[in-house]
Amino acid sequence: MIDVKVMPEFKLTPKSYEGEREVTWCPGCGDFGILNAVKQSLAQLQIPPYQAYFVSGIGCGSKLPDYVHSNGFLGLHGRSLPMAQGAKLANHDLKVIVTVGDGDAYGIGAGHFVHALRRNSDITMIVEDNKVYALTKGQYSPTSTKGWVASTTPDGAIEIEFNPVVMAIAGGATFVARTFSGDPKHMAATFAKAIQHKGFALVDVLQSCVVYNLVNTVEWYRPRVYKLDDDASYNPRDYNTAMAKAHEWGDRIPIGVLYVEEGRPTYEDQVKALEKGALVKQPLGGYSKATWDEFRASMM
Amino acid sequence: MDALAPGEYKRYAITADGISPRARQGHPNTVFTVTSDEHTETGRIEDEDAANRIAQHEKRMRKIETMKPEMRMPEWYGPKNAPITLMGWGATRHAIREAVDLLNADGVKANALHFIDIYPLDEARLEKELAKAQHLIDIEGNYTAQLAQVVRVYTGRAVDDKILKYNGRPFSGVEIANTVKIRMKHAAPRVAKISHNGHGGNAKKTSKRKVHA
Repeated sequence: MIDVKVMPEFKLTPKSYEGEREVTWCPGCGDFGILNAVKQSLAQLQIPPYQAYFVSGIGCGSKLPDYVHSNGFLGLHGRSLPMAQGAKLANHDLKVIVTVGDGDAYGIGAGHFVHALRRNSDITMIVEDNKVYALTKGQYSPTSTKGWVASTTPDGAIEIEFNPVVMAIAGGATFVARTFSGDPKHMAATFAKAIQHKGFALVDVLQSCVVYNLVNTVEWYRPRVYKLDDDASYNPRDYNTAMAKAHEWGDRIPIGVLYVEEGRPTYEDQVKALEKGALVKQPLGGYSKATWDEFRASMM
Repeated sequence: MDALAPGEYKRYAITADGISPRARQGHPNTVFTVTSDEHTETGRIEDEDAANRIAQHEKRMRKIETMKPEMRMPEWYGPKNAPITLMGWGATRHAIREAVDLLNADGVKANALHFIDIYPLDEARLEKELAKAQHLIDIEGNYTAQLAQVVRVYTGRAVDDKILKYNGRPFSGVEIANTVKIRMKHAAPRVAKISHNGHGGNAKKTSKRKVHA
């Protein structure tokens, strides 16, 4: 399996990433566990706060960067991936981590999601998937089960649920994993693997919402989830095996690394302008002010 | 390990000119978030603090005042103190310039006032520029005379005439020049406003006529 390389000299602890703000999530929210696991994974990998870059959109899950002592960009609803890919292009020395909910990722941001998959930017996308729009009071989300009854679907959702891990594998992601908010250690380890992966990494986190999703609770998930990481015979590098596993849902739900493709060049690897190093550290084009003025005058 | 403690760097510091000093994210000595939601001085999401909202909003709006002196005034083209001024913006610029040249060649003294920057609009400076125009004709490629409306709203100056085109095709210099000649032929000296339907004139019939401006 994929091992996390833990630095021998352990200096940073999860506390190093602790924000100064009071967390405003509901008591019992799965986001608390995810937040802690994110800090754990950063500490495991010894990534200093200034070298991490969190990008999010709008939603409960998207407030995560506000509670971390690190860089962050809390942008517009569904637009975290364009921001994250842009940030990575501007400064590929940063570890770019997207933390969004299922609505932001697969609903509003669905168009960005499919193109990010095939682009293979070296970023990590952690989706806090509670199968419901929780911040706006419980409307059904793309991952809500068919028939889900909520304020906007009084007769039950007509659409079938979106399967993010199948989509990610099919769409060209080079790392696809699933974890569970009731298992902090598994979460931290999975996040660390995803952050270490060179290329686009999706981690879909099965998460409870204690207010608006009283079906897919921690108690519902716990007996169903099983860890692929414990199965030595499972080969996440085999596309067809992974695809079959990604479809598994119901009484048994696989968690862990579903699919990995190593060695495919990242988007940043293939951008010529980045060959000389991070864009942000390069001088501006070598044009003088006179040249810019001339250029501008010619446009007028 | 970091030079600044959590929440120490103020990305949105309250300043007199509205501009907060900006550090680049990724610098070893500053760690901070930026937020699309209303935020504190340190870039964190504001939690229902109206005083913070007022302070941040006023700071942002002060930027507008800071920007105003840097805005470019509309540029003049053609002879000074001409009795006719053609006002425009954007892609009509070259057609209007051509029209000014054609009109002056035909003995109709005209110049042009072309807008480059619109907002934030520096009313005081703009009023002075507009005061130099006598018979002000708005040339625009839209139905509602958007620029003329903005000018009226911010400066009180109403245009004396409008030539509007909205058939999806660009203006030509000849078309503008000919329409101006027709309009000026019927225009009472200076003050009168002309009611018209905003379509161009018939070029063949009117191109040779002299206009008594």
